[in-house]
Amino acid sequence: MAYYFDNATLLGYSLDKKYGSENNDFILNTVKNISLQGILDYKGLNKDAAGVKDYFNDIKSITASASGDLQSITVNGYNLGHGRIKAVTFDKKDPILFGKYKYDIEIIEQSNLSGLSGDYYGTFIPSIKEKILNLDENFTFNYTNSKYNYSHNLNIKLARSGENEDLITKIKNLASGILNDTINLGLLGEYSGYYNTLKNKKNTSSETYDLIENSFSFGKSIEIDKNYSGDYSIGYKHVLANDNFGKTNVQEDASINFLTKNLTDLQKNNIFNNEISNSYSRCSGLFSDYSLKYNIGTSFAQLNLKPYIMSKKNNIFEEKIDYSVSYVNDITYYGGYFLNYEVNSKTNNIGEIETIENGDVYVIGDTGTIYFPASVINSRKSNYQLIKSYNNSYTILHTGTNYDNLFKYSITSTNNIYYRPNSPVTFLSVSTDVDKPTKIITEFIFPKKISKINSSKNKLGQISTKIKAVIPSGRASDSALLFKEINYTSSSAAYLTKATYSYDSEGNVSAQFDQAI
Amino acid sequence: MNNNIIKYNNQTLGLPTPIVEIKSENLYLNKSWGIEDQITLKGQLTGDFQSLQISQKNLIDIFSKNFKQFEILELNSGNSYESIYEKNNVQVVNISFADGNYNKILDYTINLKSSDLKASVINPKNDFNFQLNKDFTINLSHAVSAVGISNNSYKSNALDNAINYVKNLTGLNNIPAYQNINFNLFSVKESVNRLQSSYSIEESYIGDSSSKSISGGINRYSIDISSGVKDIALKINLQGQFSIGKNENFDVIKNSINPAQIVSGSYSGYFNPIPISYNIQSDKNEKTISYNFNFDNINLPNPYIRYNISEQYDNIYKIINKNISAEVLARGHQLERLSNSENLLNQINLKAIAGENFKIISSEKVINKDKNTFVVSASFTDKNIPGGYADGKYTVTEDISIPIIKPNLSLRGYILQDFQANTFAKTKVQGEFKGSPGVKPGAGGGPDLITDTESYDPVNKTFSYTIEYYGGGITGLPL
Repeated sequence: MAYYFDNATLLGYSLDKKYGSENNDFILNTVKNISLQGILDYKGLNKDAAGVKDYFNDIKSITASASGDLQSITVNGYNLGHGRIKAVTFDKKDPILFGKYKYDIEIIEQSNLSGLSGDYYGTFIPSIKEKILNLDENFTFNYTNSKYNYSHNLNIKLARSGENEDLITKIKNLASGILNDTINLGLLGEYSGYYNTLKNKKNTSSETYDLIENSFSFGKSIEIDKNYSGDYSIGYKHVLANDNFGKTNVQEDASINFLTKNLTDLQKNNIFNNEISNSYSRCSGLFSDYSLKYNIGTSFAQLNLKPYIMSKKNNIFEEKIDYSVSYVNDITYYGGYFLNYEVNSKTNNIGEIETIENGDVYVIGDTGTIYFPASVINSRKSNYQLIKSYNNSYTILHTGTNYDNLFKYSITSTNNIYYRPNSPVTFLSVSTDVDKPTKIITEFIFPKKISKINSSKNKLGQISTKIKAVIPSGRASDSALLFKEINYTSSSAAYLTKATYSYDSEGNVSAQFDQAI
Repeated sequence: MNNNIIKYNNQTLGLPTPIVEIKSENLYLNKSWGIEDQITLKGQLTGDFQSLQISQKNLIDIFSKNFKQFEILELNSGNSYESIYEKNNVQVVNISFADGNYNKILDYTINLKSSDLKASVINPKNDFNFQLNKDFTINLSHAVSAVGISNNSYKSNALDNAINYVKNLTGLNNIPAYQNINFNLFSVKESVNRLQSSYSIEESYIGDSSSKSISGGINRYSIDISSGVKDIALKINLQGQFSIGKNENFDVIKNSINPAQIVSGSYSGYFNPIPISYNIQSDKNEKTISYNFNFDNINLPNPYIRYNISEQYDNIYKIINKNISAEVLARGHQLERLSNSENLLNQINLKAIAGENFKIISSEKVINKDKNTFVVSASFTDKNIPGGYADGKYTVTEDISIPIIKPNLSLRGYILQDFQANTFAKTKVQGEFKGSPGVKPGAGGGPDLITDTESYDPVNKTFSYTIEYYGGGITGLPL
């Protein structure tokens, strides 16, 4: 709908140019206020010079048509642009033959922000051609040690430019253009330029639409960790603890905040994995730094390459991954496994040393990848020449190839040479009993006399060799095995009077050789 | 030609030339005097409705730019125009057209402003607020703000002026001297309103007025010292936090902390500078270091040995048994402890502790590198063991020489026949010892050996023997 005012008298025309601020070169808007007057002629209708019915009908009709919406305004054939009727007044006191009406019309012209040019203003604002009634904008940049944030807030009051205008789409485009322009703000120190870098990153925003007053507010804010890299920002915290055993644990806790919108899970995981793979150098660097610089010590084992404990919390909707990874300088770490053992050596009063090594092997890996650490345990066993016994214990999960990762072993060794690791014969005792030949003495008892006669002859002596041993069941009957081991030869000065060899089904073997001497 | 013409932005205003009013005012602004001219142009546009519209638009277009040159020129005798009033950087305040019917004549008024000011900003603010706290820290808030004004004829440089003004007043160098305290910057807030050309910076500093201040940050700590009558050592716990200023190099400034030095600065007694344990929380982003160190005042070498001795006295056999264990205690990193402890463990001589008369019965050594366990222990006795053997004893049994009296059966019954002779004395010595065969303690004897046996089990190192012979030594029995 448009307004056409013919035969109207222009009563007033004022123009108010509103500048944006005293100090800037832009014209926020230009407002034209126009007053028009027209005559309502009832001479023909009210020939009796009585009655105001027609006048009131016109008032009703004019008032109804003056909707206040923005309409095209044409006065006496000259189009003044789009405006709205602010007021319609009818102030004729005696409107029987003639009536008067007066329109107060406001026409708002386009803003001109082209004077706002340069790095601070970007390219969008100078190009705005809308009809802005009010424009207020501010930026706030906060810099702390760990965080950087900025907020960009915008309040706009807009006038319509024409009928049936989609004001919401227009204001959205306007706000988007302003809030995403390339500008050189955020000026301080190390953060300079971050506005432009981060403006398209993940942010929070607010939008308010007052469709009665055509007043709109937009806010956009971003907060990142100081440590920013491309698609994400990350904040690290480290805890270094040295326990009572002198072992040091360095833990890295971090939050990865994804800034780039719509990263895939794979991309996020790649970022996470990259951070984890670099966590060792950060932790070990910290460990070296503090150990040296705080005068805590100069000789220390480096942190183990393998993370000791690792946890990850993936907050899907906040697009954030929190993780914790720790490293220790555990001297029981050997790459693929941890090996800790306690060696207990007992020496008795005959110099026999029994050494018991109790050890735990933790194989590193997930279920299904755990192997039986035979080489590790065998390596430990190889440290002992004479092993009396060896035990191990472990757990199998579900099937024969799924091991739990803890393997316990115990090695008992001796320095008693009769425990022969490469022989099937284990001696329990070897004794040689010698009953030496003595003279034959005969006692004679007489009244008032007792006498003994020493013979020139000796009674026979005897050497008894007694062996108790264990030979594995099934081989216990192999007496040659035993004789070979003890390298038995009979004395040349003696002759065998008895030889026995016995064994049982459990492998217990005994042998006795009696020789007369 | 007109006597006078008026130009703005190098464009000449149409005829009739408006009347010009200029009002000059001296202004004291931002510590300097300047002149502000308020220029009012009052003129008329002429024509019919449509031509008035066009003239109005042309006039508005001339004054559509701020901060341009305004000139009043006058025709001189040489018939050329010379400038009689010229101002750069003129601000257009307002253009208004009087109410009218837009027929033939339209009055207009244009208000301009020309500021010849030395200042480049207005409403400047430069506030410092110092707050001394109980812990000798001083919070300093420094707020600087300004609204820029343009002094550029090409385009507004108001925001530049505001930014330059504010930035020149920020930073450590601009802090008024406050008892020679070093302040550290911890946060900065920057606000910009580019449309209003206003700019502000709020800086938050923390200074340290204590005598133990460290350059580059605020170090606050507590030292807890505790001991009890049953304790042999003081326990000293140091807990603190070092907050480093945002402009400082974290990796450099963190070296300023030396825990042992901190303790020695507050505790004059002896303490061992190698901590028992410690915990450090390092946040490079926040630039904070929290630390917790435990010290004691044990003044012994590292590592040192702790002996545990237990003694049992057998007052019947007059034997003393001793159990002695020695534990190596070390400080520092696990690897340091390992080599030092093993070396020291091998040097321990428990027999020297037990005494010269004591023989070792058994010994035990336990090493657990991961648990930092280095222990050696032994049992000793001063029991007399003959022959130099490790253990064992001998038993002597004597068939003592006694009268020979035998019962003889007669018709009257048994008659004891006294042979009037004594039996031979016989002595039997049985010994069993641990060790390789050697001497046979207790074994006497003579030419009339009855039995001479010996046995040796090398597996169990058991040596035993039996000697039986004629003769004896037991006397004094009531026979």
